[in-house]
Amino acid sequence: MDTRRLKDKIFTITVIALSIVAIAPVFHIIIYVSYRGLPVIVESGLEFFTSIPNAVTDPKPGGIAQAIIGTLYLTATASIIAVPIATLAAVFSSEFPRSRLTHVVRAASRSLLEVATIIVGMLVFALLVLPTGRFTAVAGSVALAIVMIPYVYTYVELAMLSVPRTYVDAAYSLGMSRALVIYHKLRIMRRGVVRGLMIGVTKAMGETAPLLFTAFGARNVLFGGPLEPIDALPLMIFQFIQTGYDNWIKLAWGGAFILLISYLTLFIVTRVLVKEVKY
Amino acid sequence: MQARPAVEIVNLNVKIGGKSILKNVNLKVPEGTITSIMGPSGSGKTTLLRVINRLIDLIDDVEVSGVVRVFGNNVLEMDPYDVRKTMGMVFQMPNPFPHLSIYDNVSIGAKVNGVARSKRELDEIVRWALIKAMLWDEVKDRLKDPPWRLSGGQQQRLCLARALALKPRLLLLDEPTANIDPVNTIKMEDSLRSLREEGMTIVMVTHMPHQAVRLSDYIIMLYDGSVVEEGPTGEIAINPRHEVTRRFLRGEI
Repeated sequence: MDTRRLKDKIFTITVIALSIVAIAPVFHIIIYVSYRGLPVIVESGLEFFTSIPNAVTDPKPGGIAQAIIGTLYLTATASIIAVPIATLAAVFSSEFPRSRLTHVVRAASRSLLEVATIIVGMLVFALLVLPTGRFTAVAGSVALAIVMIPYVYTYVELAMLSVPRTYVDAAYSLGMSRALVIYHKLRIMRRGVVRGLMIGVTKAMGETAPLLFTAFGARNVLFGGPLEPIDALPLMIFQFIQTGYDNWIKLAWGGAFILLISYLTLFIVTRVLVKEVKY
Repeated sequence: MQARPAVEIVNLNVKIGGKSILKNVNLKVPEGTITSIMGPSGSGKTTLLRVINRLIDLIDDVEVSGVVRVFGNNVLEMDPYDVRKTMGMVFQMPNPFPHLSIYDNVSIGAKVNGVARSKRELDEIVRWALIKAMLWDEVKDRLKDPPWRLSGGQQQRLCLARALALKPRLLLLDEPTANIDPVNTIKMEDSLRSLREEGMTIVMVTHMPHQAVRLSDYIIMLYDGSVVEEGPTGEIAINPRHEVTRRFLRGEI
């Protein structure tokens, strides 16, 4: 074997080995969480999805319905708040990149990305929880929305800026209005836009810290309404795993498995449904 | 010049970022002709086209002064969106919209500008535009296909069809065959000749002297932002008056 081929082989093997090292933690998480979580769900059956947690003295762990409902509610409402704001801001920034407002929005977004999410929780605690005197689902939604906005903004702006200039010129040359051109840019970059939305949604689904001081968690009701405390999967996992009670630790692992499956499903479904535009 | 001008430019000056790109340009494009704007890279050819259809407005920090009349209307005083609806443009690189089908690529301009009033009328315009772009026979059975399934040359002719579907009186072409193969270049040129026969005015930017001589009735030579020479193709090709034109035709610049 000549030196060139040998170098090529060493390089290829190194790249493959490093790739395996890079993705190994992901597989470790998937396998370990499935190993700990799946048996809990099999043991509890349907009750896992329909009941609230049993008392720690109960022989069976019960379910985590309140956390599933809470996560669905909080993620949906946070998305309703965050997605339009972040998308509009991203469109504005990509259309007017030299505007002073764009500079301000970009700086604010970058800062928010770097701020620990627990600070967001504290901010909403000061603004919504202290004045009203209660932890609420609304406060949790607002906190998650604030966490989501910079992620959605950054990815959607990046997608919009990635549209080749020549398509924009072609669209304007046909007499299209700016609004219509933006609409077509979003369609051309639909994969990037949806990716941004999904990253925002999964970020909201997995956050614990902003909910500690806002939604707080509620384990004795399925859903108490927007003005009552509410549970969420990561919050429940965080609190149950520390309790030392077998039943609740099992529920935490089951919840972690559900969260993991939700992420994978979201990414696979959007990947299958939203095709990349070829050009 | 016998025919009345389709485009008449008087004292046009364009600065981008403070730098003069076009300097006191004066020219006339006769109606119903193919007029080539020639010149080496950086002479301001593309900028000139983009002033005519106001795409220049999309660039930041641009100053435009002068008069640009298209069929008698000063486009610099008009709403740019209205200006663009009246003329088609084909760009240097084939750029069909990648998220739309072949049919939708052609119909989109006609739809946006209300050129067609019914689906039947729209179908007819799409068919007409694709026939005029000499593409109909190649795509008539796959109008729902995405444009990336076409070759580069076919994509460029699709872009010509897209521009034609606006039913423009003026067609602007920015080096339309610079990135396509010879067979597609011939088809494109045949298509442009046929459009001229129907009375369309065509302004084509090119840096290929042979193409300008082959295709155009009239040539405008641009150099460093100024018109150095203009006249009927025969005169310019056989007896160029300006040294820059001579050097350009010899392929030296």
